[in-house]
Amino acid sequence: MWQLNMAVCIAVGFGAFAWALKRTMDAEKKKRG
Amino acid sequence: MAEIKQGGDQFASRWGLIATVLGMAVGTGNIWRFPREVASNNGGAFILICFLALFIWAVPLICAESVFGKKTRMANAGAFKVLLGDNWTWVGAWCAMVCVMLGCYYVVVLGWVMKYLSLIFTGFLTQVQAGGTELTSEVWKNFATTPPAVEAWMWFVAAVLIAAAIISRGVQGGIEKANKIMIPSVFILLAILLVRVLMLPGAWKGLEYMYHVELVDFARPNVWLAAFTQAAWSSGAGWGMFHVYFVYAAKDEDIMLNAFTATFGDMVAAMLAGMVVLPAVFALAPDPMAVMKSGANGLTFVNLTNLFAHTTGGFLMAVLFFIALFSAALSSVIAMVELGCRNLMDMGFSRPKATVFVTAFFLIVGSWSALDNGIFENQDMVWGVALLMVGLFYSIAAVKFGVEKLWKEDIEPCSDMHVKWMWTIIKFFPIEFALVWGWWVYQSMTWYPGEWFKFWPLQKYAYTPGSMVVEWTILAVILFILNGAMAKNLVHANKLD
Repeated sequence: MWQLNMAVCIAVGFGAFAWALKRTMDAEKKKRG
Repeated sequence: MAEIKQGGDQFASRWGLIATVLGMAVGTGNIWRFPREVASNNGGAFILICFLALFIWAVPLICAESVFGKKTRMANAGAFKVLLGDNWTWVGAWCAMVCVMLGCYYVVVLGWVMKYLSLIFTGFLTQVQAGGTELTSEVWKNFATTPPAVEAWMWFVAAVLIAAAIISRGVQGGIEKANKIMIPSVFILLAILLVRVLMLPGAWKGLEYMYHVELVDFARPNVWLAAFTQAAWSSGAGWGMFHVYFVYAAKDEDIMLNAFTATFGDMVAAMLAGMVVLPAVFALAPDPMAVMKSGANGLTFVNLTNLFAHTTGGFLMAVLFFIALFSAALSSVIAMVELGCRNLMDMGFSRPKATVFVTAFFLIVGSWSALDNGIFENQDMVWGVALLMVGLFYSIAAVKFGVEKLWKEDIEPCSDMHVKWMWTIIKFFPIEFALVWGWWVYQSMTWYPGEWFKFWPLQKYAYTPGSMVVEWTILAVILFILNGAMAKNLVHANKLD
């Protein structure tokens, strides 16, 4: 059970952060043309 | 890279802004407070509720702060004046002063970290190996908790001067450059420590404790309270510091995506710290739960030093850990000093003059907390709880100005993240505030039966609602009297054009 919760927390926390950084990088690339 | 516009300070790039707001958010709240809260709230359920709090409390409030700063190009006091009228100036100033008052004792912690870093480099771990674990408690007691703590005060003064030196160099020269180095370093150092700690026998027990879920914990109000408080403390939502950094943001800066990045970046740092500290304690301490319950200052400065002293590679681990803590705390202190400076600059102060003024204020007010741990504890409670009130004021201001209007005019047009509910939920913050603060007041009255309204001496009544209300009111009365003068002088926005 704790392994499942660890996987969920890491996926949500690290995943959301990574997604936001990727989205920011894409937006910056688009802005620079 | 955005160009600097003539006449105003501005971040050179979006990454500079992101590093800076992350630097503001990632601090001792992540590296020290989060592991302790996880430990005292029985692990997994607490973390899951923290995630919920990020979505329904932290992100909306950070959006509100950011939009106020970007829209008005003025710090807290000026923005409240511009958006809501002259009579609201003192409310914005009160929000700013809460953060400044908090910064005055937060710098004391930075001084403690600097002291321990110096101890590590001067062979303290070897002395602990020879002299036993009591030595670390003795050193801590003599250094920080026995008034007058003169040595702690000297380290506090050094910490204030370092932060002031960085701030005086301005946004691009000082704040942005420092955070671009410090923040990635914190994440890298924590990742290195994580790998090292998980190689220790028994370390996985710490991970098991951290992530195990007991369903009964979801029915415990104190776990919810602790999780929401942690989310506020750690992410910086309601501190007013995001507000100030967005005064320097580019016109097309993305408010919601940046708020989301900062909030979850902060949570990642907290989880990394938790996965370092808890496994380390479980692997090396004979009675891990007793260590966890020993108190905030104790875990980091006493017990972790003991743990580092008695493990192979402990010197390196200690150096990395305290450098990470130093970087995180310094970048948060920088944000607090900058908040004070920006509010004064809106009233016509030059940056050097504002820096000198705020530095002097930090030195005078913070000295009480540095010299006397009882005062430190009182200030921690009074201004820590005031953060909830600041959040409430921002929420009321957003509702009064128009939640829908702010979304349409300022948030949505330049956002790559269109999740409207995560903004509009700010309308419900007064309900969240009433539940959290009301519960706290009720609890704190039971801590001092018959004496909850007393406030003097502060050391004796450190946690009474009386001392909280008296200190909040004194600040409010002073700012209310100064309202007219402040409103008249708050005309120097950070114009980018």
